[in-house]
Amino acid sequence: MLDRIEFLLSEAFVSLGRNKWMTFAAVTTCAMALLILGGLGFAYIKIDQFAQSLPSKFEISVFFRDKVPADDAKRVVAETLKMEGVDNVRFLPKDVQWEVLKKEQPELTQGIPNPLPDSMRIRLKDLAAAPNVAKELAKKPEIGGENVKYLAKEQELLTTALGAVRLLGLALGGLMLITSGVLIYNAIRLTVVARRREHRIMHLVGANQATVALPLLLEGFVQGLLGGLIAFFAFWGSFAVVRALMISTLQVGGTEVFPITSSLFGFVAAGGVYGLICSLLAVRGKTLKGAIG
Amino acid sequence: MSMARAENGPPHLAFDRVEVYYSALVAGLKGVSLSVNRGEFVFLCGQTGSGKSTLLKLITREVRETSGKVSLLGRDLGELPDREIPYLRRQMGIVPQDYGLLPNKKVWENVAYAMRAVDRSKREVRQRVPQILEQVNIMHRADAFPSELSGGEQQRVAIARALINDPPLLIADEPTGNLDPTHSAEIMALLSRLNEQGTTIIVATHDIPIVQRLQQRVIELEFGAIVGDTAAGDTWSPNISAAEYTTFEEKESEWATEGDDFEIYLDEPQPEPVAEVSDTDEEETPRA
Repeated sequence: MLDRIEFLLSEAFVSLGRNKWMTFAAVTTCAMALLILGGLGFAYIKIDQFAQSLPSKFEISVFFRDKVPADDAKRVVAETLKMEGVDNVRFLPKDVQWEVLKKEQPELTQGIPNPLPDSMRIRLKDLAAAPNVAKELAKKPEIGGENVKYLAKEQELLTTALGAVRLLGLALGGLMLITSGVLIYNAIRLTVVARRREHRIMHLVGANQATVALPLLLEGFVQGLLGGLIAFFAFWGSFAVVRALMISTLQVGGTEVFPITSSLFGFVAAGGVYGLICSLLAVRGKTLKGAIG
Repeated sequence: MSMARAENGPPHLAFDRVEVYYSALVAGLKGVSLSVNRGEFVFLCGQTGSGKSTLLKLITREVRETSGKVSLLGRDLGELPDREIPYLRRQMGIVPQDYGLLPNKKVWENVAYAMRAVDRSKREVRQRVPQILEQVNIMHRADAFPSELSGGEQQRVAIARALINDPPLLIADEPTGNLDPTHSAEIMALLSRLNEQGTTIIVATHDIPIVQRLQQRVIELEFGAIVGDTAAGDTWSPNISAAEYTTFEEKESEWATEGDDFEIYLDEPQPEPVAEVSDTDEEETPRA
């Protein structure tokens, strides 16, 4: 068994050694692709977490028109709760608000009738849903467009930033991933061509398909794995640089801890699996069919 | 010259009305039936395109018959699942026409590599490689690279590699095709010796002098059909035009004029288009 493993490994590493430049190109491109995908994915998660941590800033405040019956107001609250992207709704009757205000500002409220309208505060699950929720509420006769208040511009900015990061990550990372896939595929196909004599001998003497295919699959796997490892170190380095910059310029980010284990595992596993898939695609046809002529 | 020791019992190889069509108009074999006993030595003769290679490829399961049945030790090869082809090939030694040696590996490494490829341990390789090299009388060149060997020596290495699985059947495609008469005779002597030890030998060849000298069974093919089957011990002369084979004299005369440049000494005729061959032509009697 050990002998067999040693033979398969030696076959795989002979190929890696022979195709040095192709291996180098495949590994570095794979690393770049994973770095872009992983790095921008990480940035996306961080921005999203930031956005999630600031929901109160993006609460939508809604004021009911005067003389809206309490039942109608409660119905609107119930309808709002059912809207997509809404997390919770807090109804604030004008009498309750007035009582609170009277306690807080007794001098200001003394001797005047309650001027406050009934209102509600809406907290969202998804910031991107804010424009739609606001639009729907503005249509309601009990409310009216001018009575819906939220930080539309800030929300839009954050949503755009998230979208851009996501788009950039997908576009750049996807492109690099395809390129590295093609390179790994080509490297394996080149190996197949370079080792056609050996494969022919294997088929001549009755080597099984696994003996022919495993070194090739291993080669693609190792290329992906190395790509993942390089991407991990590059990511670690980038993280340290960005954190240092944030601390020195914005005085934030000092508590951020680099997720070493999960990112190492993520990059290496993603690279290995990707390399394996590319080499699986490359190892087919005559390579395995056993042509000996 | 020793006679083959054909054994009784079920045939080692049997072809039953085997047809191979590569396309509607291109036939590899047309209704071939033959039987090869264990321990037999059989020459397959015929010009290029006669079906020799197709016949060999059916045995190694590189091609599958269009109809009919090919059996090895009673097992229908047409029914063999693809995953079992490697194990089928371990039951035979295959010597390709071009030797198929790995140029960057020494003689012993060529044999060792093949053994490692069929899951033999390093210990087995260490024990068996010298024995095999001795068996084919090439041990003295074990550390040479193929480029440092003569054609005959390279052929010995190819035969050595074919013996790694101790196969009961050895298939050689034109084993003397690139060799001078001396080396051809040596290779044939080696194959005869293996045959005497019980190995069934099937040799595809154009080489009339060698075939005539060995007086083994000769199956002659033309346009995918058997046109002659001469028993071992009988004198064989080509059933088809002898001019289409290379004669010993022609070989000698070419070497005399071209020195070492004798790699292509066969004046191979172009095969007739299959479609033009009439049934009557095909059925023209196999000569016993």
